[in-house]
Amino acid sequence: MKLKSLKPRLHNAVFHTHTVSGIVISFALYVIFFCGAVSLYMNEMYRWENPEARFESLDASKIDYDKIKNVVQAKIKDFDINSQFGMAPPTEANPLVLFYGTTKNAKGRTERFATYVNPLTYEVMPANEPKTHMAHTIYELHYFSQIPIVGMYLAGLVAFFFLFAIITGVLTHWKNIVNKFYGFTAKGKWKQIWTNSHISLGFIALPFQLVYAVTGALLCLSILLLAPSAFIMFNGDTSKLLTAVRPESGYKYDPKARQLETQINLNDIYYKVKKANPSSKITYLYSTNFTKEDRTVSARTDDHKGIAGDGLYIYSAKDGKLLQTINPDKKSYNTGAFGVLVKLHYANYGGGFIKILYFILAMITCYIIISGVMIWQTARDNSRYTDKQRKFHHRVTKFYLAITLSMFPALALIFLANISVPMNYPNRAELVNAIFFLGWLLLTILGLFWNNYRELNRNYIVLGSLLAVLIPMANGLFTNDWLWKTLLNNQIYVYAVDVTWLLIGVFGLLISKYYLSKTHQTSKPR
Amino acid sequence: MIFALVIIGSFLLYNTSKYFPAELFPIIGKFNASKFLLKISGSLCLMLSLILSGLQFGWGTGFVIFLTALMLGLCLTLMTLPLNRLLVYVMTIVCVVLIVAENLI
Repeated sequence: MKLKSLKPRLHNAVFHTHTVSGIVISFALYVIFFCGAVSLYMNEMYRWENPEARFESLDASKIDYDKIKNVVQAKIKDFDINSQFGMAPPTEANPLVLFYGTTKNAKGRTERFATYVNPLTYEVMPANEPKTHMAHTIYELHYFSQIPIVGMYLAGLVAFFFLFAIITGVLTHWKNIVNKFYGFTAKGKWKQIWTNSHISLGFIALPFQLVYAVTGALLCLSILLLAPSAFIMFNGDTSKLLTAVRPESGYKYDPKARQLETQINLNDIYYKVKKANPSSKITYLYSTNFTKEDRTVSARTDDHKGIAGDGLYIYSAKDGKLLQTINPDKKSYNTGAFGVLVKLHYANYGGGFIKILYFILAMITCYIIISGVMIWQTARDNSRYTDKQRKFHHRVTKFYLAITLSMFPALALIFLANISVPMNYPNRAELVNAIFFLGWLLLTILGLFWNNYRELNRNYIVLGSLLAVLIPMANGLFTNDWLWKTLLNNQIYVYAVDVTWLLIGVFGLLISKYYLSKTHQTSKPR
Repeated sequence: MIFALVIIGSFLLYNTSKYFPAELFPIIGKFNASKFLLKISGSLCLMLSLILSGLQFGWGTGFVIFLTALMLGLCLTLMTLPLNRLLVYVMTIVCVVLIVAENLI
């Protein structure tokens, strides 16, 4: 069955829009999806990343949150207790308490900080100087946070253009959607293979990509996207819109409010919320204007199961009265929509299983992006184009492939660097980051010397797989946590990271030996 | 079970397509099942998976999880089967890991 195609003029316009928008954003989009897929496991990788965190997690309800606040207040210079501060209780994956706060110096200059607190010893790590930053580096690369000021907006624009590319892609390939739905094939010419797989997998994974295009654009460009809604719905009043989406932002705190002598007990609020939601976990406990009359203490909850399973409880810390609640079971559209979009983006629902599905789908999306570029190249590799043009297309494709495919060995490199640089090495996080970014750059440059796409792909897979196999060995060597030991000691998170890398490495080497080493006539670019 | 049913459903539905690599799976040809029967049984598997997902997670979340599982199931089926028969074993291992993960995590 073939659907009716668009009129030729419209088809041409849409087709070229799809090609141009796709090519322009392709390598940025690949980086976003690749890093995003890995970042899904940011928390689960923490024990592997930080050998000092390889101890059993305490039950979050047995932790003294007031003591944590007090030790941070004592340890962090210029800690401003009246600015919003909060803490994420430990989880099974990460046994440390993550504390966020603000410092205010004598000149009144404020700065946000984040630090970890060990809930067993109440030791406070130095603020904004984490010993390990590996997973965060990958996560930040996911939205180009390393590019100052504009990075996140660039990522948002890429997501927005991705949405554009999806819509034009559906229109372009509209007539073939039904008859090529199962059209993934390894036979025929390369152009046909790339085209069929691009259409087939692209259409099957369309809802996944649509979700990421919309949620990605919303998270990175929230100001730009919310502004039109504010104009239409609230006569341009953005604060009203923000209050509708996030009710806690509607609270106005008076910096000149009366100072109270009595202290509020954070633990009491924690137990109150926990008692009201026994099946949910408290993911964040925070307070604003802590010593003032209008102070509040709030708790965010999440059952990590339902797509709208997150809740919020805001208490007046003056008299302990519940001021506002977002009950997961009784949410309005306004208060629930933003949370649903965030959960869809971070795969914070359906348990750990959904993250595996998301990870593989994100990697398949990376393939769809690459296949799009390969269609572009193979469609231009014929006598209709001059030699100069064909060389240009070849160089662009090679450059693109070198940047994107080198991410695999570069990722293995950051894991190796993270485990091999000693924990007490000064500025170790910066050193590990430098190894990753310089390694990625060198690997990209190396790729430019491989003129054949098959050779380029195979070499990166071999390099990445060799480094991948070394990762569990390095972990055993530097921390003495060998694979079998972590399994026997029930250190599942450390074991899972090591085993995953080992499997990736072994499969990568097998694939390169049995598939990619064979010569194939059609693989040569020109 | 949600993912297992999706994989079986995807496989049965893929069987009805002209792109299905029948030469790699001669045993399937011996059953000589009609396309109609394959479509019905494949759709039933997917339907059952959706119902299970809905019952386990609630209908809203269940639908999203089913849709995600369906996308991945179809993609994996399409990507592995035409390449090589050996990859079927790899895919079987991946599916078993996913099924175990579904029940454990």
